Amino acid sequence: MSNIDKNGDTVLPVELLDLEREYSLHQLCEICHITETEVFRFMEYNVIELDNSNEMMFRQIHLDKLLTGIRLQRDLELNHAGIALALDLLDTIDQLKREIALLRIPNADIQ
Amino acid sequence: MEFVDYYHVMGVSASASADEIKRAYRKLARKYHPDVSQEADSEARFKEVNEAYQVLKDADRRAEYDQLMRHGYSSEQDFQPPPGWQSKAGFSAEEQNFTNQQEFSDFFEHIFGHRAQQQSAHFSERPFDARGQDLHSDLSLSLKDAFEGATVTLGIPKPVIQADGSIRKVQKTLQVKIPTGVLNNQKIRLRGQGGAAQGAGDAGDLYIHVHIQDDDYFHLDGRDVSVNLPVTPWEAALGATIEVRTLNGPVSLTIPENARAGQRLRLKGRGMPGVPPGDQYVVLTIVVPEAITEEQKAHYRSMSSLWSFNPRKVSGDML
Repeated sequence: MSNIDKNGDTVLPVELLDLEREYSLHQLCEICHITETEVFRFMEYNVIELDNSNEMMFRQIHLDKLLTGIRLQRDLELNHAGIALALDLLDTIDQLKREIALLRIPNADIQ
Repeated sequence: MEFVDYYHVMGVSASASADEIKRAYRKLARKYHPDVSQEADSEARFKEVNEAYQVLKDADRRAEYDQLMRHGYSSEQDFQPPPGWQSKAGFSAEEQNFTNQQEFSDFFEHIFGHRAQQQSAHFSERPFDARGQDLHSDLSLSLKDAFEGATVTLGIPKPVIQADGSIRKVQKTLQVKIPTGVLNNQKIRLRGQGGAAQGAGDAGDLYIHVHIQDDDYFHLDGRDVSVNLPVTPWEAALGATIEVRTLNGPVSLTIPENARAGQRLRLKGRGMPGVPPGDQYVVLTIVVPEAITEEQKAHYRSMSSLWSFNPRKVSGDML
């Protein structure tokens, strides 16, 4: 099902995965290479907060937070409380950056 | 292949103690970790630092590396491992899980790779007819490419089982057509482009995590984009029709009378494509011109007598 482009190279077709897609606990563990206990531990510290904790279905945002959390734990030796704090601060920085970018007048000199 | 000076990467001397190396790593990791760093080349720098630390933190690996250094290698010359070189200080099964998820330089793979790969082959032994491993990769796209769609070339390190049963990562190049309207953090799946199967199983899939680069003009939030639009005080007060850039080219925007600084105007459906498409928000900034000539100054003076306007007043109408 591949296309051939003008240079004769094979161009592979792709599938865009829905951002609203949900993951089960099992799928989450498989993608992140961690145990269920580890996921619960991250939840205890609110690194991920489920909309409905009875359902145990996870969204993309939970997966992203978990993957970032695991990297911070591995590379910076952060504990769970530290990860939760770092992620909160990163969210705040992101939001502030967006606001600053919108307030900044293009090409204006700062005096 | 270039000889990598791991001591230089870590900013420590070749006689540094294990504690000094650990401290240097912690400092550099905090500075360059791609999840927290604001530095431009953080990802590449962190990879270097991490690789250097993986070698220097382990006494056996460090001793082997030092032995190579004593051979007189330096970063200026082309490096080939000494004939018959085989590392005895590979990675434990526990570390293997860790290192499998990372990309190391050719230099590293040549020195410490062999044994690690043999072990990995051993520990990942699966039943016959096993499905191939899913692979994950990242892709950084400009906003323009994300909006228009683009064909990009990806280099994917793919584990390939060698004749002797060891696994080597081989860089494979893929041409991939990114459809229009991909969003930040969205994942793309390429079926069958992951690890090869064993026996009659299916090949794994390749997942690509898309990161959309910051743009100087458009600020993306989900499917919506926001832009800052500077206007003059008279355009804001009297209203005006102004040309505004959108992802799909310029459009005319009507500024209402008595528009305020910070006011958000919406251009419906002018954001990223989708069902429904996103919107473009235009945030107004009012830029006040300098009064230079006598005539311009006279204008400002006449304004001050025409308005009893005080922007420092806490409440009440401001305009």
